[in-house]
Amino acid sequence: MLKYQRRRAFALVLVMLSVLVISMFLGAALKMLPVDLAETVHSRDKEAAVQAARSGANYAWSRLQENIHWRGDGNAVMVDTPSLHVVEDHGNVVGTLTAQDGTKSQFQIRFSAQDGNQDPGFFLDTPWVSLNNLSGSARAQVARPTSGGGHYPVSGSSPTESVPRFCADIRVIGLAGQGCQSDAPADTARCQVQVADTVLCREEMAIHDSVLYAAGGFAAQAVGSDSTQTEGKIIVDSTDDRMPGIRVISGDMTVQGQFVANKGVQFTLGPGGQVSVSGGGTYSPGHESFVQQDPHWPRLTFNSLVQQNPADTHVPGGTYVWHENASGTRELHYYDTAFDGNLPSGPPTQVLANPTDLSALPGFSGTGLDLEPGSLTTVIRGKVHVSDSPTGVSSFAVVADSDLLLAGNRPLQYFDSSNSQQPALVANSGSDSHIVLTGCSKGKGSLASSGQIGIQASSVFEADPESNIALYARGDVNILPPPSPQISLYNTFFLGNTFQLNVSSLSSDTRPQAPKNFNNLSLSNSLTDSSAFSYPFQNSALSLASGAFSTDPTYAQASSAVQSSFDPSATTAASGLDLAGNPVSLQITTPLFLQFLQVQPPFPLTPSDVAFSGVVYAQGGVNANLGKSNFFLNGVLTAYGGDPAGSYPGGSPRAPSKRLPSAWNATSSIFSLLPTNRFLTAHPTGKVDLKVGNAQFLYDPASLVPRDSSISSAKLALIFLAVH
Amino acid sequence: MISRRGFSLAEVLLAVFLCAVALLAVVGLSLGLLRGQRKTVDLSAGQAAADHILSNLIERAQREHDEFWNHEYPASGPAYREGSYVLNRTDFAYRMDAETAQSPAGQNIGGSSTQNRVKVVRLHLSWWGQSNNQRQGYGKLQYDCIRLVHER
Repeated sequence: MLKYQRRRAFALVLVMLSVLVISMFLGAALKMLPVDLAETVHSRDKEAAVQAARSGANYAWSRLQENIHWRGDGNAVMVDTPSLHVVEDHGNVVGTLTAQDGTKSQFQIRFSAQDGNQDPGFFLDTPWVSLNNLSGSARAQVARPTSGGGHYPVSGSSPTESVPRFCADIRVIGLAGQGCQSDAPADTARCQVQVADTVLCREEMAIHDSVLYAAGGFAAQAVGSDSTQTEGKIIVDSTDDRMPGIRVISGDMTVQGQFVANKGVQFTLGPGGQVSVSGGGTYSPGHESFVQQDPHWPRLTFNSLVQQNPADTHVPGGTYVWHENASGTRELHYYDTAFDGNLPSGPPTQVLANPTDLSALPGFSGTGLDLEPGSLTTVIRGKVHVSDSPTGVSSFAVVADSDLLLAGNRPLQYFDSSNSQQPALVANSGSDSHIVLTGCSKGKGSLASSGQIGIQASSVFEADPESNIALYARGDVNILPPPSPQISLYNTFFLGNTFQLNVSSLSSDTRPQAPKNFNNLSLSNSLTDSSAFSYPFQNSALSLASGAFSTDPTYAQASSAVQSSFDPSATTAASGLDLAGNPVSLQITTPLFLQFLQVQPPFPLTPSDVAFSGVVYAQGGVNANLGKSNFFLNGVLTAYGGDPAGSYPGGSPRAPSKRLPSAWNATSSIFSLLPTNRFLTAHPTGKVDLKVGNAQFLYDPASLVPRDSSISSAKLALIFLAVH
Repeated sequence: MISRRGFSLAEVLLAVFLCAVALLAVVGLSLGLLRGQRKTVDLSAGQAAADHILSNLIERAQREHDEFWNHEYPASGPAYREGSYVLNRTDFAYRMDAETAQSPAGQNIGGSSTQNRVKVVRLHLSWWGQSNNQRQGYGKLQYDCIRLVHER
């Protein structure tokens, strides 16, 4: 009996043990299940946070493109719908997204301009700070908050990071999970957090990677600027840390001289294209088809520049000649003929006395153009269209006669952008609507011609580095040097970079002036009128040349007062100094243009060196025939080789070559001062052809960015987006 | 005789009952585990599918610019796109709605600038053909996501 009872108890024990094991198994399984589900929820929240961060980046992109000055300062509820709620408040942005199943996620943006004092109830205390530098032409520093007591304040000692010019660094926080199920700013500690680092830049900055675009090939002949150079240099550099590029679609890149590649230079040629440098060096270009290269080429369409509105100024085509009559009075002669490289012969169609009344010209209307014979200045202060003259002339040329040039006078084209409209001179009646300008160019604006542009560029000694002038031609762009004798006369005696100067009749007009013939000027008693030096020497590095005043004891004594730091922009303590009739030798140690760009050219300068800031854009070719003069370009030069509105760079259909009548090649007495009289010539489509002493290209894509301060909206390109 | 005596009926019934309860619990829990794992797998696949569908549809929307940007696709109306997508042998049904983000005053976010609108894009994903998105023991068989898209 006892034996069988033991057996029965054993069966029950077995069953109970089995149940216990099963229960343990069940318990373990029950514990595992929520873990799996929690992982799924975590993953879902993380994905939602990623989507929220991306959403914030897209929201910021739209708001910045609408207003490049936006800094989260809409200061209102911007969107209030069941699926999206966005509030902007003094540099803080909170957007709440509600999915169809009711779950919420959120994005937050804290700008560096956040002003917590104005709204302490809505202050994003996060370590991720955004900075908008879209309107800044220089790098900006953004302070990164430092963690302190669970808060993220920005102080003077906060570490900084730089944001490139014309770019915005937007850091968007994406939040999802149980902690952010309302429209109020969520606590990042209770949510899944993902951050989208976003860099948006003005589109022009983003996609153009080269200083020189030559669809039909690039040929440079650098012969050196004086006898000390056996061969010249072609130098390519950039104004910041970007790597400059050179792009060619068809043909080769040929440099006769030395090639100096600073910051590395990326060569991209078409299939089979070669780089050949006579001065030595091995260059391995990349090869891309025109289709592959296309996205990196500036696509500036002509129509985007020439759109007209009724308020634009209209000026009849023809040749405008600065003239000084027998009594020494300056006037403007208008000829209803196209400029062909020669001064028009015969009596002018119209003589305009100084000050000119342009409304007397046939078909003239508007207030955007002044032609001032007194100062030989063409002022363009709005959009000016060249209309056909009574005889059908659609070209526009402003030149000066020989006497004025030989007297050392220098015409000036001044693009006055002080009003809201970007100054532009546009000739687009037909394929013969050329523009020819001689003299120094200043200011910010553009020339656009449906034919060719022939421009006598500014000397490096007179160029303004802050000028930004775009040249756009459907045909070719021809750049010619300023005449060396004229520059020498204007500086009185130019020897190397030293000139002598007599000054009088100083003007208090601080607007850029046409260069004066300093030969006829003298300074009485003092150097206190700094305005006299506002142009072209303002802020230039000037010093008295060795030996100045030394021949005269009066001035030798005076020289000590001014020699150490001759600062024309400041009042100089030289009272009692009488310089009348006595030349002062001044030395330009570094032209302002190069000083501003921090360029130290490793070759000798000459008075007729050309300096240009801005964009040169030709649908045809670009030719700079400067002889032994040097060429400085700060910007981007493009020979597109076609119409960007309808073709790939250099691709079909190409723009028709702008062949000119043979008369354009005729010699002219007035321009005998120039090394060449070819203002308008035909070149292979898309080819860049340089004949220079030396050349220095400074890659600056910012020159493609419109500088008009009135611009509020701009196309932006997404440079970088990473979510982490 | 004594040695051939069996278990009493009560003992057998008790053992069978205990075994049945234990087995039922095991089976029930196993099913729950399977469902949970399946739901986890499906949710993960749903996320992947949603990401894929969303990316593709947004890219397509940018390409077919006018159809997407110049029309509204609210949840109560026709969808911008709907269809099915198979992943891990699961058939996911999706529907994408899109509405232009506007201020309370009815102005588009992005202002009057061309090609600068923002769309609120919602994607609803469900599987196993459940019209009410519910299934006994599985809970909701759906995945929803929302995102803002900038016009390009």
